[in-house]
Amino acid sequence: MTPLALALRRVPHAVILAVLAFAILGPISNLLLWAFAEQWYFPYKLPVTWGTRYWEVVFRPSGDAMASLGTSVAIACFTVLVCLAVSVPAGYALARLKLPLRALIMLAFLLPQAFPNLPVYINVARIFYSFDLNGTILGVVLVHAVHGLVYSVWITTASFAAIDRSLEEAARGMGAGPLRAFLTVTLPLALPGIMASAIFVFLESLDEFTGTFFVGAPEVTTLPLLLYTASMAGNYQIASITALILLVPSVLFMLVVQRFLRADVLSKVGR
Amino acid sequence: MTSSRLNQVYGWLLLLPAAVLLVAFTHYPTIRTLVDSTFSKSTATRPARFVGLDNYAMLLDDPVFWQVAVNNLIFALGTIPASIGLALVMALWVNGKLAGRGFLRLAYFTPTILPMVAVANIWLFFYTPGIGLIDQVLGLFGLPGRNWLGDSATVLPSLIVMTVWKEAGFFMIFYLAALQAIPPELKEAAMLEGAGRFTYLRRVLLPLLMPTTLFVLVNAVLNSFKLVDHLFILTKGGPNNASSLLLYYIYENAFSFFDTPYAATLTAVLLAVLALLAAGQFLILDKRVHYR
Repeated sequence: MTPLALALRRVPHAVILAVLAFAILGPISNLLLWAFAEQWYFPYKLPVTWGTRYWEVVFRPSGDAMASLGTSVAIACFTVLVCLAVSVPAGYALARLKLPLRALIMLAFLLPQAFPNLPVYINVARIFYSFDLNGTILGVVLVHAVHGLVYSVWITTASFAAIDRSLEEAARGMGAGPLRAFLTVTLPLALPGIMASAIFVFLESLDEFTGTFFVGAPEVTTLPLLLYTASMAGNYQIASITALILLVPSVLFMLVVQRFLRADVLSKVGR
Repeated sequence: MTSSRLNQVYGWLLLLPAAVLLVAFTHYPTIRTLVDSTFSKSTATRPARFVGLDNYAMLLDDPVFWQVAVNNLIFALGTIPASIGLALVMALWVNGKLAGRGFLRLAYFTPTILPMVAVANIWLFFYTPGIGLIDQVLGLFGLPGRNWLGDSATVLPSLIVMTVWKEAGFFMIFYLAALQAIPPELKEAAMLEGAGRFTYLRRVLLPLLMPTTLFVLVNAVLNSFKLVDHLFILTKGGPNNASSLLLYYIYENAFSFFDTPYAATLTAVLLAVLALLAAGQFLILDKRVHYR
């Protein structure tokens, strides 16, 4: 076959792929239209006036969006700290020390992932009410941390389990105490996995809506909550710009993960 | 104390903080829900008292519960096969060598990483009567637009399409990973034996992909009962409960009608359904999944 014929054979394939790509990206392009529309009403097919006025509103230093971006990032950082503080010791214990009922404990940590979160949040909101934690940053951080715990415990356990035990034993043999061996040998080796779980917990916290809605609103406004209120009030431009801001960290994460997304790791999932 | 006993004590101590957080904010609230479902609603004059299974009897007589349960069933049947099938097809396509493959993978994966609230917002514009993209495309063909989310006949299908859009990319990632782990020699061997591409797909690829399919299926089933964020933005369960799902009905009972015991009863039923589904999938399917 000539090269041209070969190329032609690929055309239908490429067309179908392009159609699928459009079906996926089309809705997102609609979002972009709204972000730059200053006025858009029926029966016009495209925005009546274009502009960046709403971007100025969103990015005004005193605006709601900047404040809730700050709140979101602060909550996500605290959530990561809480998650790592409890899941690094737990992950080490689950990976290294021979505990009875280990499988059962791992299951207890995985089970919340199978529960719907909403009824749990309703009850947590009631419990927090008696501790005056509703509407506080601390309350929201706790809710996000418990949600992130499932991921962080599992990922840190896996990364500690992947480290060759003999390295640790060699350090102990050279006279290092258990803590020193952990801090200078085990922890640095497990750091990539721990970082991965930190990034994951950070993004989960940034995108979390239901828990914040029940425990934090109306005092604590994160970006997803701002998106919700803007959308409810009909401020579609503000809502679209907020959605675009939320998209940035996720896309960055995906670009990073794409490089680490190794088939041999992922194919083990579910086996 | 022997050193292994000491090790165990350390182990439990290291585990303790994580366990306390988890039990206090996940397991305890869940058990509390089950207990709440056997008590009556407390009012200013009458405190809550034990009523046994009365709340469950009430649930059986509640027409809204049945409507919401049927909605959820339709939602599950609409989203699960479609998103898994689409994920498999996309994975098979993207797995081939094609220019721009990296970009396509990224495109397919994009809906997955978006927060559900943002996804709901994107589709809100899509479904907007008059200026939404769907009505505009219909307008090109001279067809009248309609209020997709305001009409009880179209609201649930609209939500199903949106959910498939969000989920297919996520499931595709797992299929893609599994496909890349399949050695190319298998294809060569099958071709030598005279198998066509379709036979190879049906007799070799699909059986090898079964473990991935089970994993994806469990996730899809759980998600069809777990997703609720989009309802807050798009429909609030309306019109007339036509798009309300079990979780949203639980939320309404707890926060709009302040009927905690009834919300707890609904939660207990939902948990029982999920447990049954999960057990069924593992017990029945697990035996048939592995390729021997």
